Amino acid sequence: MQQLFGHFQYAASSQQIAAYLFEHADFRVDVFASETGETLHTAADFHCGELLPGLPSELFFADGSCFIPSDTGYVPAKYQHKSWLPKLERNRLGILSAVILVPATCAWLFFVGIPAFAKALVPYTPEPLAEFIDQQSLVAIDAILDPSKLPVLEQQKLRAEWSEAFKKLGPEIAQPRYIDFRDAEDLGANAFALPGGTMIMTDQLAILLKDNPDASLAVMLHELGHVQHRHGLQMMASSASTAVIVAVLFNDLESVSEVIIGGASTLVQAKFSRGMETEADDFANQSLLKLNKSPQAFIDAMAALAKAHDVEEDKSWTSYFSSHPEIKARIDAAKNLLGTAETADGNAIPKADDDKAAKPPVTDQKQ
Amino acid sequence: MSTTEHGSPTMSVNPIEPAVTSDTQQPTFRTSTVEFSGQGGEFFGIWIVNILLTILTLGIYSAWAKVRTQQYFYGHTKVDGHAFRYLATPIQILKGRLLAFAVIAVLSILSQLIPIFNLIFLVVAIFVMPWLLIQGIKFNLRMTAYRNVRFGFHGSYGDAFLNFIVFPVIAIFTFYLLMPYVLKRMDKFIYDNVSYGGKKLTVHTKTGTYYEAAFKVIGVSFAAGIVLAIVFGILASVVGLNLTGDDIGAAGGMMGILMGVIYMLGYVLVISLIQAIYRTTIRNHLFANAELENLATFKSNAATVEYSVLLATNYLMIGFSLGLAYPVAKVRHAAYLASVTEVSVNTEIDKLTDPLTQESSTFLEEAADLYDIDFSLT
Repeated sequence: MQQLFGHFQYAASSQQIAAYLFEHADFRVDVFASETGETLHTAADFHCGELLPGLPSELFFADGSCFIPSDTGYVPAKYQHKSWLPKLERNRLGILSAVILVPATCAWLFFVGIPAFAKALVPYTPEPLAEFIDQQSLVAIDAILDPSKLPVLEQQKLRAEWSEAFKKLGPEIAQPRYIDFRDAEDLGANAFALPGGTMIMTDQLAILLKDNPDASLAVMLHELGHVQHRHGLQMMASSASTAVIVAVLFNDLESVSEVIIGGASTLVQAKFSRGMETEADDFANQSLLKLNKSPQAFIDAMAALAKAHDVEEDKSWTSYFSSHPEIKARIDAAKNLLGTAETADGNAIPKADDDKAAKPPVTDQKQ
Repeated sequence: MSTTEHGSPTMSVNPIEPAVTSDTQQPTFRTSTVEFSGQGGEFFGIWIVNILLTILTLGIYSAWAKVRTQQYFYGHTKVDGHAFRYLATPIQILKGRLLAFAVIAVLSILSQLIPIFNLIFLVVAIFVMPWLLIQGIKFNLRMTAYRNVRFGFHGSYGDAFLNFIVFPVIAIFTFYLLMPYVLKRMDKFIYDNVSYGGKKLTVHTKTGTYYEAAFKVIGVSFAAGIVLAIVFGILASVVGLNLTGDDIGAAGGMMGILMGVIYMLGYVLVISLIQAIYRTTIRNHLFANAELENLATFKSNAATVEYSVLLATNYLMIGFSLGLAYPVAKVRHAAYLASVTEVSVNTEIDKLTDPLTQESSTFLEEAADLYDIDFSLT
């Protein structure tokens, strides 16, 4: 039994009186007036608010009265099991490890946790949802891009060529939902895969690679890589989960911290995206080999894109913000296959003449 | 920090009714500065542990984090020697957050999938927003107690809709000329509907003060823009005169960085100054003209320059520490505002009863539990 000094506050009233309290082992408490010793309150139970450093743990009783201990360090026996928290909050080592753990767990969450979660979630996307997403994306795209000006026959020919090639890759490879063309004067030569599996090539790219059907196939194989790995859906799932987690975790922070977190998540998204591009490149090159074609087709396509967009030389640090890897790295990756890899029918791939592969490293403008 | 000694506030005499020392019903007023005893270092520990546990529990702990933060600041704020109390429990907050979270999740999925939904949502939001606003204020005030007596809020939906939707829209059509008046109406709506222990708070806001604050803000913004432009002009010309040939490349880069830093500093200073002008003018005005029905009067002596320095140093501190100094800045802010605030309380307050608590039966308490949900995510 413990005697504790403080003030008793009457129920639903602002009146206070100096008092002392006895806490029994079974959480019963008796409160007596300091001056007169008269019993002010007896209670079978009580509850406390949060135990906080520097503040008294006030004992609230069922009728609305309460007892305010003078000793701010006092913790009622009933709440001893909760005292680890204020102890941790005052412990230097605890605070220091929190300072280190907070950014570390955030980094893990953004770089590993969320992407893995998004990847795991994607296979469960219902087919109607994927179709719906593409329909909605096309509505958005058509607000920016014009209908294709390519002759219908030309479109059909390309579609048929690509579809035939895609089917040859085997049953385990996803087929595009639909392949379409759009006129994109501002965007220029480009191609993209929508989250649900629809693939779009711009007229400008079709014209650019007109004389090199293998190069345009290589581009479409890259996009098929995105479809096969369901990258678009992964991006959607990951940006949605990032938004949710930032909202839940950091809603008590103010704008400055938001900027920092926003910047960090942009970096993460960009890294995530560059990883996907590399994966799609690998898919394109391996598919070319399967189709008994040389990765040179991919190199040609990249070189043509680099030339068409004529982007200035990549600054090293800006690459962290870029959604695509440097073209030079992408071309080099394909070049590594030349002379080493074999096509499906067992033919060695001849080494490329280096002059043919364009030098200017650029970031392409895809998506 | 407080200039008045804790527990023994300075006595003062009610200017209207002469004080009577005998034990008649004549009210006597005690005036004291608001005390804030929270410490940056102490709150830092609470804050960083809050964030860590929130991350580790995938957000569940955020409800406890909110209650701990609120109780820390309320408990360390004392008026007339008595601390405020934040009564909400983490479970209450958690329920509200889960509900708000579910609603937001459904809405954002719908708006992603069906673009037209955004339009419907916007229309619905216009009508729901005033209700949410009232609900939030009501919850927060009901969960605030001083000397075991709770605060209350009595603003009606109709008035909230008028002041927070209708008038701002009208202000847009007047090219914002009406905006200070609208801001005055918003403040009046919020503060005039606050009650404490059944006594109403009344605020006599003057439209003129809001226009005065607005003109000062606009004037200072223009002046600051001109000063920054001149500073930049001088810097640029100095660089241009002193550099020749090959030096320009390297020194130009250095200059770019220097200009960037000066621009950032200038921006922080100007933003702080503008915020300080508006907030100190309005706060001092509101406090001077507020009265809690025969129970308390208020005074705020916030000084614009002092407060703008506080804001600027807080922003810089938070920025340079990548957010780590946030708790210290928050405590400094609370301590400053407390130190410039005076409250005169009628000694009647010692015998006040709380009609809210007295009326509530167990059933009402339970019904109120469902009703008393803070929907806001913050």
